Amino acid sequence: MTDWLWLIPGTPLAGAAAIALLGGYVSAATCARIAALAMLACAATVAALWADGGASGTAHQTLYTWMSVGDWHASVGLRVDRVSLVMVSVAAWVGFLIHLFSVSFMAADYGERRYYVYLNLFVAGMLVFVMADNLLVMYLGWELMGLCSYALIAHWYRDADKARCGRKAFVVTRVGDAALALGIFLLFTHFGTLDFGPLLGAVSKSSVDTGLLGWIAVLILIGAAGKSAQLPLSVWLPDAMAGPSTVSALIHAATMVTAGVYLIARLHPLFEAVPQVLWLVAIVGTVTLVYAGMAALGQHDIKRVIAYSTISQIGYMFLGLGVGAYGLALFHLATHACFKALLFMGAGVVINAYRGDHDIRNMGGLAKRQPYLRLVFLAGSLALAAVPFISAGFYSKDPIIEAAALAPHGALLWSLAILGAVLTGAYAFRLYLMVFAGPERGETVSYRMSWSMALPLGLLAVASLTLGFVELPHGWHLPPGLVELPQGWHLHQLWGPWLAPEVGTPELPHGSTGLQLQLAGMIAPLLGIALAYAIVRRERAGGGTSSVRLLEEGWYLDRLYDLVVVRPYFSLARTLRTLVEDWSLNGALLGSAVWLAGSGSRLLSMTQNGNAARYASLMVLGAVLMVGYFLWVR
Amino acid sequence: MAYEPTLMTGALLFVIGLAIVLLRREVLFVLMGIEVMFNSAGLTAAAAGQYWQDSVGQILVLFLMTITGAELAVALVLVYLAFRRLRVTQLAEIHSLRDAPTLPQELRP
Repeated sequence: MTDWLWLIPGTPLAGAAAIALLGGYVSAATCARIAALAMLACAATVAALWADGGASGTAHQTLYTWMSVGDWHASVGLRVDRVSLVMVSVAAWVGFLIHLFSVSFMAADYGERRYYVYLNLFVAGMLVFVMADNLLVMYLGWELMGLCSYALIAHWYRDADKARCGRKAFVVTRVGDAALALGIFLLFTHFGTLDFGPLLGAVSKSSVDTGLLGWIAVLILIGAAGKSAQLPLSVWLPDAMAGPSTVSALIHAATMVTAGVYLIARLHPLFEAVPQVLWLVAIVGTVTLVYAGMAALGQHDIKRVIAYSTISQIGYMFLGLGVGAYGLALFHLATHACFKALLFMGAGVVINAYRGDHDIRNMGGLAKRQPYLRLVFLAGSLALAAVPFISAGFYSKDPIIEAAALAPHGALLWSLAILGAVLTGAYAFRLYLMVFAGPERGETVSYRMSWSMALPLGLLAVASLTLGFVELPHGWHLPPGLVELPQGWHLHQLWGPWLAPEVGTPELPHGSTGLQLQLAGMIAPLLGIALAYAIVRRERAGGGTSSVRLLEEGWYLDRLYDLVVVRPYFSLARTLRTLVEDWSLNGALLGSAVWLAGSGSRLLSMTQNGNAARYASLMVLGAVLMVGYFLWVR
Repeated sequence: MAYEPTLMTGALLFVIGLAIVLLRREVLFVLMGIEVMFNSAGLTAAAAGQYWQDSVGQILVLFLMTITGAELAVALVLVYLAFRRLRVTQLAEIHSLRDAPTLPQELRP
C-alpha cells in the first residue's frame, strides 16, 4: 500500500500537465473532462487507500532525494497518517465534486484551459502539502497553493479590479509565508532536521530553550494566520471572491484556507511546548470569529457574506487548536469543507440566476424558481448555523465551544464563542432568507442545472447533514447493538478515539456543567436564526445590518491597512523612484555615462573623416613613434 | 664599394615620396609618391645587400619591381574608376566611408 502513494498528488499533477501541453489541440470541454477525470482517479486512489488499511496505520513512501549537501539530505517523501488522511480525503473528494461541478458551470466562460490547469495544479499542491513528511516539501506545496490561488482569483484578469484582488491576496499571504519560512529556518538551524518524526521528538524534550520555541511557534502562527485569513491578515479573503464561485468553493472554503489549521495540528507538539503561544492561537481564533461574524452581517454581496463566514468558521478551528482539541478542529474542518463548498457553489448558481448580480438586497423568493437549489442551500445553511441534532455543523462546532470553557480564561473564550454562534445563525439565515424566502424580487433568468452540477450539490448537502453523526457529543449514547463494530469502538464516537493516537484526546466538561454548556450551544444558533428573521424584515424595508457602515466595511480593517501600510509604502516607493531612480540612477549615473560615451565617440569619429591625407599622416606619425620607441626607449 | 651614398639616396627619395603623398591633392600624384617610396625601399634593399655582401638584396629589388608593376596596374584602374564613377580627381573628395557627422537619436546626451 505504500508504493503507490505518489499517485494521489500525481494524478492531478498529470492532469494539469496534460491540459497545459494538449490544451491547444483539444476543445475546452475536453480540458474540463481531463481535469475532472484526473480528480476522479485521485479520489478513487484515496478511497483505495482507505480500503487498504490507510485508516489504521501510517503509510510512508520516499520518492527520491531532492537535494543532498554533505551529510544532510532533503528527500521528497510522502506520509499519510490519520491526521493527513482527513485532509487528503477532504481535498480529493470535495475537490473532485467541485471539478465535476465546474465542467458545466464554467462551460460558457473564457480561459478554461488556464482555469483547469491551475485548478488541477492547486489540488496537487494541496495534496503535496498535506502528505509531505518534512517541512521543506510541505512548504513547496504551501507555495504552490499560494500561486494557484493568486492565478485563480485573478482568473478574469481583463477586469483590472479583479486582477488587483488577486495581487492583494498574493501579497497579504506572502507576509505569512515569509514568517513561516523564517520559522522553518529557525527550526532547521536549531534542530538540524526538517523531518516531522525526529523534529517533533526533539521539540518535546524539556532541554530546549522555550523562548526560542516561542518565537518559532509565533512565526508559524503568523504563517498559518496568513493562509487561513485570521486576524490580522484576514483582509485578503473577502477580496478573493473576485474569482469564479467554484474557485472560492475549492480554495477559499474547503482546502487552502484550512491549511493553517492543518499546519498547527501537524506541529502541535511544538505548540504544546509553549502553552502561551497555544493560548495565543485560541485568542486569535476567538477574536477573529467574532470580528468576521459581525462583518458578515453587514455584507450585501452574497459571496462576501460567505467569505466572512469562512473566516469566522476557521476562527472556530483555531480556537479548537488553541484549547488542545486538535481532533475537533479537524472534525470541524471536514464538515466545514462540505457545507461551505456547497454554499459557494450554490451562490454561484444564485448569481447566474440573477444575471450576475451579487447584491442580496435585490434578491428574494428564489425558492419557487429553483426548488432543488433551495433545498441544498438550506442544508448548507443549517450546517453553517450549527442547528442542533440535524446538522453536521452542530456536532463539530459545539464540542469546540465546550472545550474552550476549560482552557485558561475559559469563560472569556467560551462567551465570545457563544456570541459567535449566535452571529453565525444570524448571518447564515439572513443570507438564506434574503435570497430564497419572501416574494419574488429581482430579474431572474431560468437557469437549469445539469446533472453534473446537481449531483455534487446533493452529495455535499447529504454530507452537510449527516457527517456529524460519526462523533456524537460527549455523554450521548446510542442503543447498543445497532451496528456491530470491532471491540473497543463505539458507533457514536468514531472520530475522536480514531484520531487520539495522533493528536490526543481533548478535555471536555463533564456532568451538569457539560450539560449546561451543551444546552447553551443548542440555544445560541436558534437565537441567531430568530435574530435573522428580524434583520431580514428590516433589510426588506431598506434598513438592516447592511446599512451599518462599520460592519459593511469589515470594521474598517481594509482602510486601516490602507492608511498604515499601503499608502506609506506607495509614497516611499514614489520617493525612491524620484530620488533614487529618476535623479540618481537615470539622471546622474546614466546621464554621465551617456555623456562620456557620446563625447568619446565624437572624439574618435573625428579621425574617421574620410580624408586620406590625414590617414596617411597619422600612419606616418604612428610609424615614427614606433621606430622611435624601438630605437631609443628599448 | 661604399654603400652609404646608396643608402642616403634611398632615404632622400623616401622623404620626397612621403612629402608627395602627404602634400599633393591629385590621386594620380599621390600614387606617384607611393612609387617613389617603393623605389627608395628598393635602393635601401640594394644598399643592405652591399653591406652584408649578399646578392639577396638585389634579388629583392627585382621582386619589388614586379610587385610594384602589378600594384600600379590595380591602382591605376582604381583611379580611372574613381574618375568615371565619382567624377573626381582630388583625393579629398573621395570620402564615401567617413563616419556619419550626426549621432543617432537615442545616443545623443
